[in-house]
Amino acid sequence: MEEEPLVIFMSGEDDDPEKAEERKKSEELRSLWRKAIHQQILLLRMEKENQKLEASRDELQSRKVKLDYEEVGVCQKEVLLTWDKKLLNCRAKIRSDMEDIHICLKEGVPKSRRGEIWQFLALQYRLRHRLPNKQQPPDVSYKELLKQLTVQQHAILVDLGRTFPTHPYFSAQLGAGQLSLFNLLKAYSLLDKEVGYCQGISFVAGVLLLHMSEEQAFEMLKFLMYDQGFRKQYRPDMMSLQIQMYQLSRLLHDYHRDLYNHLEENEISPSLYAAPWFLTLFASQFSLGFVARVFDIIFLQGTEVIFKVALSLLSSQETLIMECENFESIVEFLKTTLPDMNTSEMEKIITQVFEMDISKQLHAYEVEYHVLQDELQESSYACEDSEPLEKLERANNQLKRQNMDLLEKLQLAHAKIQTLESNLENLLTRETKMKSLIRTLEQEKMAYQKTVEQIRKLLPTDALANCEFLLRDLNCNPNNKAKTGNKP
Amino acid sequence: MEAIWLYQFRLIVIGDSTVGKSCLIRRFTEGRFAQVSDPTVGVDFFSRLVEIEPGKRIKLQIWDTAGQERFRSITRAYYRNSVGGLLLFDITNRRSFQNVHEWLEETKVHVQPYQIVFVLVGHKCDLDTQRQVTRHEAEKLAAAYGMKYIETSARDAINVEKAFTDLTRDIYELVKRGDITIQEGWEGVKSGFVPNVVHSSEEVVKSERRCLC
Repeated sequence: MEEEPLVIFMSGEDDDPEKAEERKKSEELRSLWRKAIHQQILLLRMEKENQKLEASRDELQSRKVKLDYEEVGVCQKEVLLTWDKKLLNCRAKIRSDMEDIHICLKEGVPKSRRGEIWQFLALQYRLRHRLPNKQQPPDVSYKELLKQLTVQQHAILVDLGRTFPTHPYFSAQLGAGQLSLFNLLKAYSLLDKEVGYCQGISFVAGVLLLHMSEEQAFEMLKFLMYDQGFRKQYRPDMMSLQIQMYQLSRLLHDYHRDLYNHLEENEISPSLYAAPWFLTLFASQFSLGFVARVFDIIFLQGTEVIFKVALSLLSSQETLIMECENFESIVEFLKTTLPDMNTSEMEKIITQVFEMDISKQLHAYEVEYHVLQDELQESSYACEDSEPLEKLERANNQLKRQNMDLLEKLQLAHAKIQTLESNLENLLTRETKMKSLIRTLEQEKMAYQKTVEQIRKLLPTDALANCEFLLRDLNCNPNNKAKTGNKP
Repeated sequence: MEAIWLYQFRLIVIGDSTVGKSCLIRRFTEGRFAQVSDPTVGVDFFSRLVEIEPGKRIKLQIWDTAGQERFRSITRAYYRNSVGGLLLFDITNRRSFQNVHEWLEETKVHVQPYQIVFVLVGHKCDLDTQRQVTRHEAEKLAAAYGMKYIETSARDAINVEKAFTDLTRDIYELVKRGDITIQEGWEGVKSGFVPNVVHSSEEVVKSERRCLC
């Protein structure tokens, strides 16, 4: 078929006298060529289309694999529609009402739109909070970062097989999941040289990758780390993590005293069970459905969500933890039983987290931590090595108790200051309101006086005497002022 | 119901990232090799009973630590209350062997005034073809620091029991001799619930020793 036009072409070249036929032939030839070319183009186009279909099928397949987890809380149809509307606004970068988002998020998030919703929440967060210049990440594109080499390569490679090792998307050695994870972690380690790579980050990156593309995940990782400040806890000195452990311990002390005492008696400090909660945002131990829900709230509120979830988890299981009688059984419970709770329990936890507000306490405890550290340092300078240990121990215990008492007092004082401050604020706003009221009244008064002047000029002199009489009357009875003033 | 034990020892397992600390512990406490595992973020805890002599059981509390350097600010807090330690390196990773010295220094600073009885463990000995550290040089280094040396494999279950029980025995001897004593405010060694039978046999052993002197 394909050769035929050529044969005709070749044979037709020598025959001179039969020009008409030749022309006819060449026309045929041309049309045949046209047809052939046309078909070739069509073929190519179909092939391309086919490839596209295949790619989208692959993507769908991988999306299915990525999102294959049981959701905590089912999303109603109406909620889906509201999210659709919100996501449209997202493109226009319109600032949404916080209260509104909060309600919507509480209702649920469909997992198929979760990635987009996180990006929407990040945008909203950025519209409300601007980062000071100092804390901004360097402005280098993801593609540019991928071209470079990282000193953290070994540490990252080693963790690839240990991040969600049983999840089908990440389990294949150097499969698509692990490759994306490597790229993302490498790029971040190059962007944030101070943090580089810290164990725990791979889980956060992994959760993001299950819901969006690599580049979007990079943008969202940047958001969590810089805008919301999660990067602090991964810094080489891990100071911030220590503070967080202290804050959690204090929260337990203040709100769940029995549980706190029980854990203290058995020498279980938060660093033993809560470090992975903070560093992997619950992703290394808890089910993906729960983790995704926690991430929903993190994208809305930031780092304090981890405390809320931790507190809610511990308090919801308080009776069971109290029943564990020794160190081993408590650790076992916190490590294995707690992350394994059922979906309805998880839903309850999430609902509780939406209703909590502990930002003031967290702030106060952070201040406390620093005060305590300073005091500890001073006292360690003061004491001498030769003193008997027992005495020091006793003094230490006493000081500890004293510290606790003082801390409680400090907290009360903080609360008092807070109420006083809010009172003051109220008074100040009232004062300014009053001041502006006075100003408007004065202006009004001047206007009236002017009107009176004008009226006086317009009136004949004999009427003026009458008027003055009236005015005197008015001064005695100010309620009539407005009425008379309006009369020309 | 709490099992009956004579003493409780607290052990700590340290060493570079990915030398196989968690796998070794899990082989010892759970009796299986974990094909997939998460990295240890912070510290983790395991426990097991060991019978060192018929009727004499010791409870081991084993603390697993994160290997990545920046986690030391957290794991450090757990050195002080440990009586024994397994210092791991990977025989197929020379770097992890070179860091042994640094690990010892690190613990020394933070364990004072107490001391940790260490055993040096060359791990992953099933991967002999990829070996980068010879047995001879590891033994030499261990001797220089007054430690025992043992090679183990969690995958093939080689010497895992031995590594833990030998260390436990050594500590037990030190406790018996009075070189390590139970102290208030220190969790390294605790004495447990001792039934009368065991107690009396202990007394017998003690009096016999006294006679020998």
